[in-house]
Order: sequence, then structure tokens, then C-alpha cells
Amino acid sequence: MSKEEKKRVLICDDAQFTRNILKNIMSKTGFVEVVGEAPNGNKGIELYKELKPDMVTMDLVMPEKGGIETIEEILKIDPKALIVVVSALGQEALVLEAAKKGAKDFIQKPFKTDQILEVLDRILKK
Amino acid sequence: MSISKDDLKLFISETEDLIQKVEDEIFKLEDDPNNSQPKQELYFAFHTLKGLTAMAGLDKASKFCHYFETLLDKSKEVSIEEEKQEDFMKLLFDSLDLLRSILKRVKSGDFTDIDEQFLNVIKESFEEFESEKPVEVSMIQPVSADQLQKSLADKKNLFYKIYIRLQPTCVFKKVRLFIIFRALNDVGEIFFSEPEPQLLEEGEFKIDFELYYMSQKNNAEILKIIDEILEIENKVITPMTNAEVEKFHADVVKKWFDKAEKPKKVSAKPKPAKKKPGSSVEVGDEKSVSRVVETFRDDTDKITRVKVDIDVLEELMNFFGELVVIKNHINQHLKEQGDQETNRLFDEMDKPFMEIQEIIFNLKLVRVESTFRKYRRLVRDVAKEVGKKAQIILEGTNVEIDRKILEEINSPLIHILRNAIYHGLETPQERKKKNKDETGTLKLTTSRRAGLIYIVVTDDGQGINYEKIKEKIVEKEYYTAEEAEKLDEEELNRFMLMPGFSTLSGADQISGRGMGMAIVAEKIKELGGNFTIHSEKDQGTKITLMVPFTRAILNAQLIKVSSDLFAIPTENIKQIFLFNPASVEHIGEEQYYKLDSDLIPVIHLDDHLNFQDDGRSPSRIAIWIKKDEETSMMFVADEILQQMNVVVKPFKFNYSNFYDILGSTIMSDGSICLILDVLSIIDTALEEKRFSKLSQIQQ
Repeated sequence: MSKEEKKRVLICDDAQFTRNILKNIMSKTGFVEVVGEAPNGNKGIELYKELKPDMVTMDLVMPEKGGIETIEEILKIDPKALIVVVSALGQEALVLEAAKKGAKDFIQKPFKTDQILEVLDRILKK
Repeated sequence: MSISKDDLKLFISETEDLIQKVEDEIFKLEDDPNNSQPKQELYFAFHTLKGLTAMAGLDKASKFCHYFETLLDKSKEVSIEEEKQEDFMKLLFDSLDLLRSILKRVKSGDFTDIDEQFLNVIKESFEEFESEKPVEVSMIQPVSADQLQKSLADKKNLFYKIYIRLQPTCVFKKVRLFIIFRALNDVGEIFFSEPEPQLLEEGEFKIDFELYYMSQKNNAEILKIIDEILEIENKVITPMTNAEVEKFHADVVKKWFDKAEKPKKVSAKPKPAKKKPGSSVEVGDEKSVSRVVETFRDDTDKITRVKVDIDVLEELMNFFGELVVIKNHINQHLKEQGDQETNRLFDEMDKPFMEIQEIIFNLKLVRVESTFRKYRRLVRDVAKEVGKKAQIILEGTNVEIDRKILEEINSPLIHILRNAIYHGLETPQERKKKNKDETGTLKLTTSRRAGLIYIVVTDDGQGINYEKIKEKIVEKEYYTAEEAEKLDEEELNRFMLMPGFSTLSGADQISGRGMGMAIVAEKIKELGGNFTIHSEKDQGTKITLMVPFTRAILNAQLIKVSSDLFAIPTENIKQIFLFNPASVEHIGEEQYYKLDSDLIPVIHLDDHLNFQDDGRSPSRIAIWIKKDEETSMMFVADEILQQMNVVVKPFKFNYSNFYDILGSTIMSDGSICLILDVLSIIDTALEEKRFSKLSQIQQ
């Protein structure tokens, strides 16, 4: 698969460790390229404008700008943006809020490789 | 998920940085407790730690961080009270130590997680801080018959039944529903569901459900929409014909509408014994958080705890109760006609029976802490409501009590606490004038003595205004002013407990010490308990509740009074003697039993129960019943029989002279045996002041 055809993903998470794991899993599929990483919402919005990725994974609690606000702003820029929430446990109300703001779907940490593959398979690879 | 070496290094360095950050921020917070910035930073740090540890497979450590995150989130809005600040800081420092110890282990390649039971304790302790917003999903609009007819008329509309089964690992079920409903409602309309909409939206389903759906999309298009949603294990889309839809509507949806229109009728039905997931009984050891954090560090103290579903427990107890009765029946039958071998085999059942019983007894017990802990919040909130300052000190929270009884005393206690704040405590200004601390202190002390739980509620408020009560007594013409003046505290209390007797008027009446305390008194009596009030002007009020710590199955000593069978709870019995007439001393009208240097008041049960004198046994027995440290009495009966476990049927009656009876039990031969409420008999005897010299003599 040539590079042009690869799906482009932006990862928004304040922990590099989580970003790395997501990146590793996604890169190994061969059809996804992680084009950007943002440790907070502001950077995420900035990168979204710049990169126009096919999908964004979004942590909800981040310093500077949290996930909910970031989702709102990204969707203002691009109402069709595909945003998948990657939340930690015990945040059902927050995840629901994110969904109501327009997040496409969600997974929970700790996620398994299969879950990420399912996200890519169902949401990204159409 | 295996972690590569590089990732592990990253994990360690990120975690290390965060832990350092946590430490820095804790110190900042300590310097300036009112600054919200460190709390915010700590919140982020714990949140990120939560995610990190989860990704490293340390699920429990992740939860640990979650609880701290929640606590910090909460503390951002609600500032920690000054006196709790120290505990709060200690908790944070302890958490730091724990995180460091985990990281240290990880560095040496040891990924041992936090002990699960330890985690449960942490969770419990943090529960009161946890107040997640309720998650509400509402996206199904059941259609009325009229609407349906219109929809059916439009030939473009297609109808489906969609079966969906979620993956068993799905945790946020309500959000999952939201995502599914949203996707479907985008291109159609869910018009009903199974389980019915409200239940489904509340998450009342196990793993699968059915949606009744109307859309102009075809089967394949709908399938594609659902296909894009995560966590769905299986789905079946079945088209419905118009006739099927109409039948379904008439059979199911219409009934739902009818039901919804008569909400009163529905709610009047007894509620099913459905329990909230949180309301299970906890058994086991529980420690305060900071202590546990300490014990975790040296890894010695293991806390054992299981969660048992309340319904299961209830059933288990009921069936065992029946079993005890049946066993007693069989026993009797076998003794009469069974052969020796059968008897011997039957007797072998005794040991396991006893053990099961022991276990069940223990299962029924919970620490009062589980309920009482919530009072801290209650006191704070109620005080705030009325512009007063109050704190509550809990003592003896590790006392165990029958869960049922704990449930039942909850509302009386809440009432007493509310009363203490409303009427007992003064406003901060008044307290200042009286040279009292502006913050009133309530104290809830729990202890267990002689089969009873003593719950003492004290406040340091203004005390009960007995002058007002006297005024009221005169006003209501119970007594003249002179007579009222002579009434003692006990008698005045009794007036206060009379239903409808209130020293306050108008709107305050409901929460006043009038009607409310009467209900409290009623409730405690119903539980087989008792309660006393003692109040000093400007010193405060002390209310003591005495309730049995368990019900249902009781170990009882069977005795005979004359030729009639009675039972006495063995837990009240201190000792049993052969009655020695030479030990009896007569003082005034009354008899006392000489025991070492003590003189114990004597109650002859046949006299007390007004039996006709039809022959006392020549060899009588004396049963020493201890009520509490100061009060005991010697009960004299005619014959002592075996001890056995009896199933207590509560004795409901309205005749005050039957207060001597705790309940009844059915004997193996089908006859009924009354269980004597010896503690109440002692109270009555004391009330009648029959042993007025008692206190002097015993000293």
C-alpha cells in the first residue's frame, strides 16, 4: 500500500507512553500512519488544522485544554471529523458528554491491541 | 500486552516525573491549602498516572490513582474543612509513598499490582467524595397509536426489529446505548424497545436488547450503520410487516402507554426486591485509609472481604431458619420412635449445623461504619442549611450489628441528628456569647454490651427546654402549674415523646421534638429496643438507643416457671445457680441475692408473671441476668432445661403489660414458647422503683 493511501491519524494524549503504544499498534497494521501527536488540547487543535487527519484519538483529561472542549472545537472546524475517545476508567459521565458533543465512539484504557484494531477496522477503514 | 524495553523505560521516566510533580504540588498545597492551583495540578498528575499504570497492566494501581483523581476533582470545588486538612495531606503523602514503592518494583522488573482487597478499602473510604454526575440517556420516543398509523400510511417507511448483543467486556453501557441510539436515530426512529425504553435507558439490561425501529433505509444500509459501532458482539435485523407492527403496538406499546398514564397504580404495587448494585453486604475487615496505606507498605496486614448479594443472603437466612425448625421437629420425632443408629446419625448433623449457623450469623453482621460514615456529610449539610456550624465525631464504628437492624435504625438516627442540629445546637453567634466553640460537636458512640448495641448521640447544644415543656403541659391541661413543676426529667421526657406534643408551633412542628421523637421512640420499641434521654441546660442532650444486635435466630435457654415453658436469650445470661434460699436477704419489701459482696435484686418469675401459686419446685434455680455494667438482677425459676436455637417470631401487641415478652417461638412439638424480655423486665422493675435502694447497696 502506498503512503498516499494510508489513513492518517492524530493522537491526542498527555502521556507519551500511551501515545507510543497507540502508535505502535496502528503502524503495524500497514494501512494507518500516525501523522501527529499532541500532549494537550491546544496542540491537538493546532495539529488538526494543519494535518486534516482521517481520525483523531482523544484523551479526555489533559492539561491546558481538556478533551471535551477540544472535541467541540475540532468539530467546529470540521463537522465531519472522526474523533474516538480513549478514556480512562470511571468516566462514564464524561465519555457521554464527549459523545453528545459529537465524538464518534470510545474505548477505555487499558485497551488491548484487538480493540484498537476494531476501531480502525470499523471506523476508519471504509 | 507486552511492553517493549524502550516503552518500559518511557513508562518509568514518565511515571517518575509525575511522582516528582505530585510531591512538589503536595508541598505547595501544604504551604497554601486554599490555593486551588496545586489541586488542579495534582488532579492532572493523578489522571495521567491512572492512564499510564492502566496501560502498563497495573489495573489496581490505576484504580488507586482514579480514586485520588476523583477526590482531588471534588476538593477543587468543595474546600476541605480545616480540621480535615491534616488527614487530607497525610492521605496525599501516603499515596506518594505507595506510588514510589510500585515504581521501585517496576524498575526491578516486578509488576506486582496493588492488593485488590486493599483497593476496596480505599474505594470505600473515598466513596463519600465520589459523586459522579448521573449518566442519563433518553433517546427512545414510544409512538402513540395515532402517530403509528400515520407512519404506517407512508409506504416509504420500513419497520424492523433489531436485536443487539453487546460484548461482555462493555463497561460504559449507557454511553454505548447512546452511540447506538444516535446512529440509528440519525436515519430513522427507535419507537420502542425490549426491555421497555425507560429500563433500557437506565441500563437495566444484562447484555442484549431489542429495538423496534422505523426508517426509510433498507436492511443492508442499517447493517452498515451498526457495523461502524464498537463493542457489539452480535446483531440481527428482522424486517416487520405492517401487520406485525400493528399487532406489536397493540400488544406491547399500547399497554406501556396505559401503564405510564396510571403511574400511581404502578407505584402502589410493592416494589420488587431489586437492589442497587452498591447495596450489598460487606463482610470483613476494614481499616481507615491512612492506616491501610501504612500497613500496605510493610505488606503484612491482609484484609479479607467478600461481597454478598443481599437477596441471596436473605434467602439463605430464611431457609436456614426453616431448616432449624424442621430439624427440631425431626429430633423430637426420632427421640420418640427412631432407632439408636438413626439417632446417632442424626446427632452427627449437629456439628455442621452449628457451623453453618455461625457463618450465617457472621454474614448478617456489618460494621455500623458503613452507614454511620455517611452522617458526617449529613451533619455538615444540615448545619449549613440552618446557618449553624457542626461536626460529628464517630466512635466505635467497628461495632458489628445485624444489617437489617442497622437499616432500621438509620432513619431514627438521622432524625435524632437533625433534631440535635435544628433544636439542640445554637447559632454560632449564640455559642460565642456562651463562650462555646462556634462549631457545635455531635458525638455518635457505638458499643456492644450484653447482646445489645448501645448508640449514644450527644450534642453540646442548649439542651432541652424543659420549662417550655412544662408550659405546654399546663397549657394542654395535663397538670396544673404546681404539679408540672414537680415533674422530673423522665416524666417530662415522656410528655415530649407523646405524639403531637410539641413545644414548637406552626411549621416547626414537623421537625420539632414533638412528632418526630414519638416516631423514633415507636421505631426503637418495635425493634425490641429502648431509649433514654438526658439533657442539661446549655451542656447539651444525650440520647441513648439500645437495640438488639440481631434478630431472627436466637440462642435461648429454656426454663420452666411452675409448669410452663419459657425461653431466655442466653446472651443476657451471666450465670445460672442453684437457688440457695439462705443467700436471700430481705430489705424492706424486696429480696436480694447475696453473691460474694454484692446484693443482687431478686425477681421471682412466677410472682412477676402473676402465676397462681401452684407449687414451687423444691430445687429452684437462679439465673443471673446482666443488663449492663451497673445493673443486674437474679431471676428465679423452677426448672432449667436445654439451650437451643429458636426462630423468633416478633410479638406485636398493643398491650403495654406484655412488654415482658420479646417474642415467641414454635417448639419441636408444635407448641408455642414465649421468649422473656428479661432486660425489659429489669427496666420495669427499676421504673417501678422497687429496688430504689439498689444503687446505694451496690456501692
